[in-house]
Amino acid sequence: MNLRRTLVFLAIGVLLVAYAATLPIVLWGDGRQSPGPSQRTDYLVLVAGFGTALLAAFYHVPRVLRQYTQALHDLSTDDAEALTSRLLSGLTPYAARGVTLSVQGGQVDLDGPPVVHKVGGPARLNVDHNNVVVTSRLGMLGRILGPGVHNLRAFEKVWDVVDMRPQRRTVTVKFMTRDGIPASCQASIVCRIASSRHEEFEGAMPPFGYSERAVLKVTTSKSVRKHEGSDRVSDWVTGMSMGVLDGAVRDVLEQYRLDEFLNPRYWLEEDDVPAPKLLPEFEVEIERIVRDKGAERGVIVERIELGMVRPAEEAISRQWLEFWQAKLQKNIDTYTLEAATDLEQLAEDARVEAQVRFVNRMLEEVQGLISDEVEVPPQLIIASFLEVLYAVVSDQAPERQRLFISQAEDLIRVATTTPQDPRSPPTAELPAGPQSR
Amino acid sequence: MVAVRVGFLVFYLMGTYLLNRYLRGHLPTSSGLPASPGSEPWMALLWVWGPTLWVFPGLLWIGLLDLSPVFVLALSFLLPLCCLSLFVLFSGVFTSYGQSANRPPLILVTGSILLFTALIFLAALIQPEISYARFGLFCLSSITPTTVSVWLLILWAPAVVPMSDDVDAPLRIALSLVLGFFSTVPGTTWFVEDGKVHKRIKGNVGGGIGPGLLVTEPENVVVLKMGSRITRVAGPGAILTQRGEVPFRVVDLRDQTRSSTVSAITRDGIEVRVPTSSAFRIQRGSRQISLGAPWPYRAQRDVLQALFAEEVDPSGRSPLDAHTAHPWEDLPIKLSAHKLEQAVSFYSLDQLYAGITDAKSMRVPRDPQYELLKTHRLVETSLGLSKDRQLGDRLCRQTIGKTVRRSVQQALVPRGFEISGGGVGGSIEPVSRGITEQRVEAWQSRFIAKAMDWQESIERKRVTALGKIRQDADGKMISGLIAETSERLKDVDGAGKRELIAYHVLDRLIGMARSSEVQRMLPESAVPTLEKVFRKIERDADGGVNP
Repeated sequence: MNLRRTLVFLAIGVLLVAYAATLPIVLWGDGRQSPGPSQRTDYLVLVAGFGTALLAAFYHVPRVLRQYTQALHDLSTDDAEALTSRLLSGLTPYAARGVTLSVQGGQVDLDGPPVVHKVGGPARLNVDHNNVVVTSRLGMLGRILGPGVHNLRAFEKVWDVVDMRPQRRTVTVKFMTRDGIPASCQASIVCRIASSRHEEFEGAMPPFGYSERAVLKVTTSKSVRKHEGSDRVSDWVTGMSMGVLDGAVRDVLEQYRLDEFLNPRYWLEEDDVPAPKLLPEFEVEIERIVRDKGAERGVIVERIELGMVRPAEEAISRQWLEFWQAKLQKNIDTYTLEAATDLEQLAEDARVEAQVRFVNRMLEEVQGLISDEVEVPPQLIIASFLEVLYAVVSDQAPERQRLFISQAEDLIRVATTTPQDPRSPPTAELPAGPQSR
Repeated sequence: MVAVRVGFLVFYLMGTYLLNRYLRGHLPTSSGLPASPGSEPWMALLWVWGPTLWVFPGLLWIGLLDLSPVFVLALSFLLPLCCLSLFVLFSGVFTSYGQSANRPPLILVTGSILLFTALIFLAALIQPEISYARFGLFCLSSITPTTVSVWLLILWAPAVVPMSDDVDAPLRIALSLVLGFFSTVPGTTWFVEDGKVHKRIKGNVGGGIGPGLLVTEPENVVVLKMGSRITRVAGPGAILTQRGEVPFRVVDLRDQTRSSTVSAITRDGIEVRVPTSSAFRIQRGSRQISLGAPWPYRAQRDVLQALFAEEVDPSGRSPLDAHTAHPWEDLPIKLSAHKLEQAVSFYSLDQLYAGITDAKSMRVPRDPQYELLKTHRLVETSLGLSKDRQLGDRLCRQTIGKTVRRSVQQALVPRGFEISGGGVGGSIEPVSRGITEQRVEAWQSRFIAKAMDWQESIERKRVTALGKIRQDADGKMISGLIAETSERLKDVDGAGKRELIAYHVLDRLIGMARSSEVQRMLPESAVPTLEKVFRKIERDADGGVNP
């Protein structure tokens, strides 16, 4: 029992004692005669009657007020009785004792006392470490209560709860590319309420810090979206995901053509097309926009995760896209494979082919020399060799042609500067080298 | 007589207990109409103090006062009644808040009770055998419990009545509301919950006892009316209503967002769906939301102007609700949709997907971006807006959205709205799938062409690479042959050098041709032919220098 009620009770007790003390004097004078049994019965009846009347008054007024409270708040008799009792006890720990409303996981405990939820205190409010509560009292915002146990004043109730944990939401953003093709992209946001202090848990444990200004801002900037329905009011996370993130992703991605989202590896090979932005670059740009808008709302955006951009299935089927991407990929793979792993084999094949070509050409040149029984002068073989050499190097780059021809000419020069043997036949004419291209 | 007194006591105890049990489940029924004029105070008195059975403590004195039981009974009933009548009269509960007409009858009845009580009191006092001490104690024991209950009511009533802290005369208001409730003709009490008014205590708005009470949520205000006259905008908070005032409408002060999809036709005759949204609220001015203060709005005029901007539009409604006005919250989105429809008609479909990405291009006549900017300006002028410098958005729909928003602001700000956002809320899509399909087909063709180009370029690169490899092989082979021959020549002097070259070339050729990889690609006669030539040179060489 609280002090005020105790005082009232004491006052009533004093009245009763005074009455009980006065009564014998009044009834039996100076008390020189001892009262008989009937007189004692009268005394007890009168004291009991007076006491009953006082007690009835003491319990009767709360009953009257309970009836009013019951009608006013549309409560059951028991709830109204409990509420009236708490209201009459005033703002004391006693008033709140026994009635505790818990807030955890970003919401009020639905199994908690409904009267506190509907009418408000006096009651005790237990706010879990991840939550912050904004209270209201008789049509005005009351207090911002962080984690801990609080006493709610009369008619002070929970108006809104803010979950301080990082919140993740994923949205599918549908948009039109710059070339008018419907596409979509998944985007996720991780955000939380701005803190008033540095939040490194250096040895300290949560609760999370919070900024009262930010909490007030996010709870009072909720937007009403329609007249009816459970989702008529969007909370701050929905506002960030469906409003800010969705809009930012669309605003950024709609500036590009579909080509710039699909298979950028392919387009990167083009020399005349500027390199398109890659997904991380879009992500950075969107994150910057969302962060700025979040800061205006008292929200810290921890990160944005942007998914792959895909054309709308009804516009370009995934099957079609996969077919062509696979086709492209096959070419890329073939090219890469040949370039990387078959190079040695190709070189070996080319060496063999070069030898075959060389031998064939030499065969063509020397074919006439074996048709009769005449001797074959070495000059003729050399000339044939040089013919073939010129023919072979004609495919080479001019620098290489010059190099080979110069090497061959050096060789011939060495051979022809040898003193002439008088018995030897006349030197054959060496063929002229090919014109450098 | 002792048995009688004990009987009264037992009856009193049982009566108190049973009455309280009965009343636990029964509330006074508010009829809304007085049983008879001037009876309200006595109904309240009966409901509040009747169950205390105030007469019984006095009745226990029967036979102890040397007075006739009739006197005891009358005084036991009248003395507490006098206290209660005086309390009812002087509390002002039944004579204030427009109930001044109650004062004369109340004074008359109270005076009568007092007079009658005084007469009986005096008559009792002049009884010859009366003991004044006993009589005094009897009187005290009769009125003390009633006085205590009045005192407790005064003490506790303000605690249970929801009132703002800054209200004047909280005690009188609390007593008015509580006693008014028990008079069966109370003032009405309303609570606003989830934006709707709920009547909690049904009363008589025009003639109920005490003020009416209206408790709003923090985020809304209530427009009150009296008869056919709008009186004021009340709230947010706990508000006492005047006699005859009733809630007319709840107005939500929070941010509002409405969205819709508009079907519009572009300049080139293509029907498109454009999602649009509008964000707004009642004009707040420069005021900020803060704790312990009512949710701000600039002025009552803004609330009323917004509310009375509601339009009656029977189209699409049943005859029953044809004359119901559309809510004021629908007005910005309707206006936005209309303006958007107008704006879109200035653009071609290609322009809707375009934007101004290059500040230089938009100054070059006949450039698409120049044309787009020209269209933006045209829309601006057509919607009656002043010239805005910032029209160079990278997306056309952003510029359209801004222009539409400005247009809505121009129309609704004078009507108490604060337009905080909105415009084109999503992507613009052609209604006909064929349009999109054409674009998709065009893109697919480009995509396939690019894919083919890529394939060809890869083939070209492959051929080039192969040619290079072959050239390298040829070059290596020839270089090797020349280098090897030159090396051999170093050791030879005199005229044998030519033979040596010829011999060496043929030797190398035969070596190549004999290699299994090369041999299978040569005609069968290749090796014999080369050997034959080689033998001829060898024979010749035998006559000369033996290499």
